[in-house]
Formats: sequence, structure tokens, C-alpha cells
Amino acid sequence: MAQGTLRDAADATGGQWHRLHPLTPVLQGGVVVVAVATAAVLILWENLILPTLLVSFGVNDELPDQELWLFVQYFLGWIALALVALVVVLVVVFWLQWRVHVFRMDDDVIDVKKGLLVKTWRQARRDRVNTIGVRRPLLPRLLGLAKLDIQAAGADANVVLEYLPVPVAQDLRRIILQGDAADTSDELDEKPQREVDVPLFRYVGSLVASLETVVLCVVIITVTVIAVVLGDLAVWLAVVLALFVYVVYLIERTVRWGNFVVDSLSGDLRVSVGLLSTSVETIPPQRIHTLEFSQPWPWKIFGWWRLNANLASQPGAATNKAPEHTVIIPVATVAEVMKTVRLGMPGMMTGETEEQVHELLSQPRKRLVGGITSPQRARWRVPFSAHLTMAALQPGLVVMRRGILTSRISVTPLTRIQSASVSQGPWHRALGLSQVELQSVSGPVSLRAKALDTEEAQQWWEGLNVATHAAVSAVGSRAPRKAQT
Amino acid sequence: MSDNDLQWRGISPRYRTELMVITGIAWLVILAASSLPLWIVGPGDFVSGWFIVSAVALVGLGVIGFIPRRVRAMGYALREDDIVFRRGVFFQRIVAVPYGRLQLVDVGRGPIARALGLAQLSLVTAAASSGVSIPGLPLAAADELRDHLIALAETRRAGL
Repeated sequence: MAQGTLRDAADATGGQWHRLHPLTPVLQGGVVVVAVATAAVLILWENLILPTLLVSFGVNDELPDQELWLFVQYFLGWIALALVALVVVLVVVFWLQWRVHVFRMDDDVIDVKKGLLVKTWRQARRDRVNTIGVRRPLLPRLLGLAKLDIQAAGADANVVLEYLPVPVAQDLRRIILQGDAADTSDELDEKPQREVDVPLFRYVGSLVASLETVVLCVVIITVTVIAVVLGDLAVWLAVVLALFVYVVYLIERTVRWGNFVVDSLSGDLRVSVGLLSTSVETIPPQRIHTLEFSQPWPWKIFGWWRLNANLASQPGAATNKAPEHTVIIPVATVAEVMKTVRLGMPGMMTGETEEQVHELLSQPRKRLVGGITSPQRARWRVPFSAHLTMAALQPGLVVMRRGILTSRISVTPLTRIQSASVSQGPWHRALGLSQVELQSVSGPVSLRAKALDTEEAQQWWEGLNVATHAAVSAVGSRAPRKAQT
Repeated sequence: MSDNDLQWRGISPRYRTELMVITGIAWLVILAASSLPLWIVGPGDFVSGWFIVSAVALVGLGVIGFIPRRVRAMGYALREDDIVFRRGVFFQRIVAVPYGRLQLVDVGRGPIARALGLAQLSLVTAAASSGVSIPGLPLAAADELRDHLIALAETRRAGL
């Protein structure tokens, strides 16, 4: 039934069944075999081979484990036979597995069938495909293979092709997305352009210069003072333990988030992440519903910002252990932030707004034109962040700011806002304050401005509703094809 | 927070009954749970147990007595471009959902609502937190409103 192994992505489009790379079963199940074999060799090495070698070199005259030695001598033939049989069985099983693991793609659907005993057949409709990620775990990466993670709209509706040679995976990705790419830009310049490259040093620096480190330092100083006062140094063990956990955390984060790169590829953002296992995801701008720049307090010294986004529809993200790509850049300079905003929200910002956002990043207390801020009395409700809270309606988008320990500035195009609310609790009402909140697709960014003057908030909300409607109806006539959740 | 220019439409007064029955059942369960110490120790030996039970009963009655006020605070208004929903007495919230943002409109009915001929209209947008559901609509009105909203959403649909 299958036409053979896929060597060239162009062959895949015919609707015939194709097999994946022959090493797939080895990479999927072979790891266990390798682990068992390694353990066996290690045991033999420690108990038998190494002592024998040491004896023969005259380093040591202690004889190896006699029982094991005799056992191996006596059964050598059988053991060899059993090993050969095991290898043969494994090869046959792997080969059979490889034979039944096939996929097919035509103009409408992508199917993947696999399984020797338990058979599965997954199908994804091509017009519902949202995102395709090329993931490269460490081992396949060394072998030049990649996993193609095709995410369609709907919960748990993703199809995974593992493994394919990297160029085939990339070509296939392009072919599947082409239907969508075609109507956004005709001249497909396929060369990805490097936009932002986060230096490893800066990333590690951003981890060290964090609120967590400040807390840890405070704890260590406190414990030291206590230890000195009490004259009992045993308390210090806890500090050593904490430091160990801290270092492990730094390493884990660095391995996962290091080597962060943002490319632009025919209008889309392409985010690659991972020091050892790489994961790549392409994010079309129409999926970006809101962007947030956040700055933990210690980053102020360096002028660093983190860039998060609320993205439309990221189904199946949890099922294949893909890292969540809601982080657009883990740590960026102001120039990089502005560059990415231009890429992620193309043509949505007027030059003036862009300048204002730029100023907001360097002057965190600036009040934007057309923005409302908390009045003086809001200090009774939000004592520390009252002077920072702001909501500003700009041409085509909303800029909001909040937070004292971590400053958060968000930019949301009017055409992406789902709904807007004004709310007020008893404490708010006693002070004549209200909270404004915009609802966006789910994600790490929440859009609210607490403790605004009720009258101002109400007016702002009304103005926002009118502006949203105007923006939506202006776009409505050329509604994008990819209108889905 | 009220906006006088809007033509607010209220919730059916029958919704009071629905809410009272549901809340009443919940508080009966809580009341039963709070009387547990009395059953274990014995009603005669544990006087303060009676205080707990009566306090719970009092709070429950207060909550139920407050329901008409809560229902009165709920309302919705259909404007030219969006639907506005308000609710809450102590914690007030007022949401505007543009028609073009509606993904689907859901009419749901619980057993008590069904007995009273009521239905709840839930508006779903791409954002989970929009959370607009208008309870206590007469079934015919709910169906009509749903069809109306869907038609409006269809004409003003703007993708995501």
C-alpha cells in the first residue's frame, strides 16, 4: 500500500501513503533498548572486564567475580545466541513498525496511521491547520531528523509526523502552509531573515538579575545573621541546599530557553528556542491578539523587557510536550522590542503611537496622550502602583500599563478585542473608582487597569466601544480566511 | 455606574423563584452539614452547636432575601453595534460585546428553569473571560434573542 519512504517533500502531495524515516521506531522505542544494553554492558564492565584487564596488566591481582566468570564461560555460546535472537526480534519488530507507520496527504486532509498491535489513525483537515512546528529533540537532531507537529483547530487535533529528514520536514511545512501563505503575499521570499538573536550571556544575566535572586539573597543574608547570632552554623545547610536548587533552576532554564532566535519569514514570525532540543514555531501576525512587555524590577538597570503574547488557538500544546510559544522573546532590549512589535503587528501602529510606546519603555511613568490614569485617591486602593496604572486609546490600538514590582505594558489592536468591561467592587465604589478590563483570547497577558476614576473610566469605555466597532467594521469587508479559534 | 441613555431590559421576575429554589437547596445542604456536630455529640449536650446552626440559617435567609435585589441589578441592552450586560450589587460589572465578536450563542435550561419556562443565554467569544450569560429569559424571548444575535453576528463578522 505504501509507496515507499518519503525522500522528497514534493512526492507527498499526491495522496499516496508514504513511510517515515526508517530510524523512527529506533528513536521512538529504541531508547529503552539502548538504556538496557548500556546497563548490561556497564555491569559486565565493572564486575568482569575491568578486573580482568587490571589483572592482565598486573595492576591488580584481585581476581574477578569467579561465579560470574564461570557463568559467562560456561554459557558464552547461549548468551551470544540469545543476544543475536534478541537483536533479530528487535530488528523485525522495528521494521514492521516502520512499515505500518505511514502518512498520506492530499488537498484536503493529512492522515497518519501507525501501530502494530494497537492501531491508530489520525486525520487533520488541511484547511483547519493553524500552525506547524518543526521540533528537533536532541537525539534526532544529531541524526539530522526532525518532528513535524501539525496543529489544527480544535482541542487535541494535532497530527505528528516523526521523524523526517530536516529538509523534507521544512519543505513539507512550507507545502502545507502554502495555501495560506499564498493569499498573504505572492512573492514568497523563503529566506528567513534573522531579526532578534538573544545572546546566551544576556539570557543567563536576565535570570540572575531577577526578583527570585533578590529574594534568595535576602533569605541568605537573614539566615547568615541568624547563624552568626546563634553561633550555630548547621542552619547554613539550608542555604547550601537553596543555592543548589537555584543553580539547577538556572541550568534547566538556560537549556530550555537558551539560544532564542526570532526570524521573519514571509511576514510571519518564526520563533526558535532551546539549547539542546530545538523547537521552532511559526506565528502568523493574525494569531497575535495582544503583546505585553514586562520588566521585573531588577531589569530596569539594563533596560531589558520580556515579550509575551496572547495567541489565538494553540491546541494540543500540552499533548506533545511542546514548549508554549506565548513567549515571543524572553529578554530583549528596547530596540529589539520595537522591531518585534513592528513585525508582530504590521501596519497597526501609526508612527506617532510607535514613538509613544517607545518612550513608554524608557520612561516608565510617562502618561500617553488620550490616556487615563488613576487619581490621587486611588492610593487607598492600590497604594504602590496607583501612579503607574494607565489605559490609553490610540489610533487602532489600546495601550495599558500596570504593576510596580513587574512593570507591564500591553499593546492590543482594537480589531482583536473580544469584549470590554467596567467593574467595581465595594472598596472601589467607596472611593469612586472603577476597573476597566479588556477580554482577549486566553494567554499569559491580562488586560486590566484598576482604580480609575469612575466617570473617566465610563467615558473611556464608551469611547473604546465606539472605536472598536469602527476598527472592526473597517476590517470586516476583507475578513481573513483564517477566521477560526 | 448606571448609564441612563441605554434602554435596559430587565430579567424576568420569575428568575427570582429559580434562583431562590437553587440557593435554598444549596443552603439546606450547608445547614444539614452544620448540624453534624449536634448529631455526633447529641443535641442536649452541645448548646453552642445550636448557635452554629441558627447562624447558618440566618445567613442563608439573608442571602435568599437579597435575591430580588440581585435580579433587579441584572439587565442587558441591545445597542447598535454591541450588546451590553450588567450585573452585581456589591461587585458590579458591565460588559460590552460587539456583535461581530460572537462566536456562538448558547441557550441552556436547568430543570428548575424548565419548570418555570425560563432559559439562560450564553454568549461565547474567542475570549473565555468575556463570560456573558444572561439568565432568566422566557424561553421564547431567549430563542428570539439568540436568532437575532446570530443574524447580527453573521452580518458583522470580522474574523478574529
